[in-house]
Amino acid sequence: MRFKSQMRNVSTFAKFCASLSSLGPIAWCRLTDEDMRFTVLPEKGSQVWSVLKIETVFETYSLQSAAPHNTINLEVPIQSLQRALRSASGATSASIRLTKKNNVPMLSVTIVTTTFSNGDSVVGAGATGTDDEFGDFDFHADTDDVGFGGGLGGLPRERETIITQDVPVKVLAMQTVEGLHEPSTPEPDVHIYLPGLAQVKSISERFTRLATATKTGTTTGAGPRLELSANMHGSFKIALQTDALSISSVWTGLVNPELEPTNYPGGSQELRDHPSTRMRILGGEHGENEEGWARVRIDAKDWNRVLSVGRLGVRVIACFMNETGLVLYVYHQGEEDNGEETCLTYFINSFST
Amino acid sequence: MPSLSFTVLPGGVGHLHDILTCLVKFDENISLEASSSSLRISCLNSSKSAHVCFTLHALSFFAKYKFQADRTFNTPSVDETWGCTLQNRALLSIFKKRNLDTKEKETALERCEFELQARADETKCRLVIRMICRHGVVKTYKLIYEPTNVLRASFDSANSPNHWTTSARTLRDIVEYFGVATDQLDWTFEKGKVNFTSYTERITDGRDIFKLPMHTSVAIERKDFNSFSVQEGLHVGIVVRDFRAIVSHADALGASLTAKYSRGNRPMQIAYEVDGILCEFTLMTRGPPANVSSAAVAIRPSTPARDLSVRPVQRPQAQNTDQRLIGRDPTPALSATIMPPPVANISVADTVGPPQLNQSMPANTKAQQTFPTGVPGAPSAILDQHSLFFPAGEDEHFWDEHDNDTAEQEDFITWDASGRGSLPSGAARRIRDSETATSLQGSGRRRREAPNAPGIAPTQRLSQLKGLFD
Repeated sequence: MRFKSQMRNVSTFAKFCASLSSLGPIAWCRLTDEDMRFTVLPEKGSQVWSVLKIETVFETYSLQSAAPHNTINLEVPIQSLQRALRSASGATSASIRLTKKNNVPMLSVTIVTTTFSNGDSVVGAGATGTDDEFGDFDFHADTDDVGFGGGLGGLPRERETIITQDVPVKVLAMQTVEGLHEPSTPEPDVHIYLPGLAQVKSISERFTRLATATKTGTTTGAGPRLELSANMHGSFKIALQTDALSISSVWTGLVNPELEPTNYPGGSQELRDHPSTRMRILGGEHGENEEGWARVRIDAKDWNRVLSVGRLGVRVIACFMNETGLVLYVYHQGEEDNGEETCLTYFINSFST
Repeated sequence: MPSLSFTVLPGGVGHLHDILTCLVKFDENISLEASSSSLRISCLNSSKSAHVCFTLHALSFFAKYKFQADRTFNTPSVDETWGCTLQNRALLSIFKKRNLDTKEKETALERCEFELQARADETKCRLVIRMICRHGVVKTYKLIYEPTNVLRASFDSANSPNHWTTSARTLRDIVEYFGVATDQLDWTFEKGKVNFTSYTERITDGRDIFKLPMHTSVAIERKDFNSFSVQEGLHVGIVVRDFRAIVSHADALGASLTAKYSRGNRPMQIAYEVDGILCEFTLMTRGPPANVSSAAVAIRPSTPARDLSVRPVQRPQAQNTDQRLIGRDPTPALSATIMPPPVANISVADTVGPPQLNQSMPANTKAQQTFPTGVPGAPSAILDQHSLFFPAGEDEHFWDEHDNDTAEQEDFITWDASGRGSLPSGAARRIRDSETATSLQGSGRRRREAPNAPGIAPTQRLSQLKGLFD
């Protein structure tokens, strides 16, 4: 079993891991020739299934496994991996590989950084506080030319630091993961592009705080819940109802993506019978009817954890299954627009009233 | 009665705050020791593996400093001192960061006066600290203290050939890479690179594997050091938490720190001096981590060299040896290794009998769980060729567990009370780098004392007590 790869866009990878780690401490990671899949299945709360395209974060990629389809299944403490990757921010080069130390399998991240220090006066450089010793990395990497680090007297001198971060992992047998499948969901009643997650997150968090603040003493242990709803006329609403108050925020003018007929065996005929088409009609001509809204009630804290994916800079399509659940398709906006995108899929259950 | 008073200006008060916050990371109590030339603030951590000492020079640190030693029971000595112990928490609450903000505050601090009230005609002995602020605001604090003889760590730098000096900034950059929960730090110089490795030595399986923090190693170049002279391939280990505390303090001062050591399992000293403050950290080190050390020999017979060295206290070797060996070697061979040193070298600790085997059994079973014999790479009684006096492996486990295994700690006492009478300052007890103490100045004197000083054991070994598990 071998896995070795030179990384690029390490910060993207680190952010990706950070988003996953907000849902649970351990991720199931499946490495194949085509992609790297991360799945977090917490005991309670939302789950996420994600696909990371090789070229998004890896420069070179080599994988060897005895398992069918050249697959390696790992259990990864995602937070440690994220921390390891974070120390690579701004590194000259970073690679990751699967190793074994003391019989413990490890994902080993090797990072090479180059900084400049001033000749002999390392102390001077340190004492005067070059705050951006790390922030400057990109600059250093760019000017990392022959002769620069060389003996020009008095000029800063290059120094190289190699950091190895070993994250203990667990190798999973094929049969352990065979039974794991993405949850199957009914066709959505409403699908819509969400507004910027930063907005959604700050409003959700404010609502959550209000809910906690106005909570009456007698309520049971359950945390505050938000009601999310959307219609097929470009509106998305976050609402909160407690004994003390009732508030909501509505976004309008959002886009409801068109469904691709080729994705459905019944073609355009099936699309005409699709729940979302029905919801569009129910909503009336301008979406003025209440019937056109699909609603879910979700745990506010869980929702805020899901929203931490916003750090990746993403486009999000939310699929509402009325009173049943919510599926978020989160697409990472990579530099290359080659259609094959990194995608995270969040499955969030709705509570009944 | 001794008299002590001094005045510190706001800048110095800031330094005091930094010193106290650094000390609190080691132990909750601190000791003050005043002499005519300096004031020392020190502490020894509870596992007695780290001694921290800040020496504030009377002339350069203080605005005013006056000390007169106790004349009543006086020994004719130049180096008179007065020492006391007090809780760091009490001082920290006085030297709070926000109280020290001098900028744009109506009642900014102007100076801090410190006075010892211990006159014979007073009923109360107190340390009085006065914070004198602008507009005549005076905050007075009276602290209770306990007069003690302050411990000193004696470190023999002459016999510590390895040393390096670098800026705290460089080290801080390294420390930042370390995982949050790691406890051990190992460093070594190999192939032109200096490796700092932070790791946690815990063998776990199943899901617990994820409780293992990251294993981080940072390799930097020799030229990152201002001066560097270290034996190639030598491994020295200390506790990450201590190292962090040192580095963050040194970094706040913008200092450049120097480490001196001989080898693993011998003390190391990290020191720096800024603004009239001399900071000395004397730390016990460990040998190479388990996965680095080479092939294992299960038992080393009693080494003559080791028996010859006066160890003021037999270090935890007994316990540790038990832990290491009992699983695989049922013969009582280890009793040979834990014999008290020869009579000629008697010191107080020698009167402490060898720990009894059966009493260390509870600890033992624990050790076996933690280090299943079947697991390769577990630190199974590994000997280090560099270690002259005792197997390197036997210390390793000790340093690992000192947080949760107090029984072990109690058996580890490094200060030496036998030198009491002979020390010039009357009663300054010292933590002794025992090996060097013997080889250099110590041995002759000690031998003289030996017959008439059977001494008192510094502390009773826990293993001598009848405990729960007997």
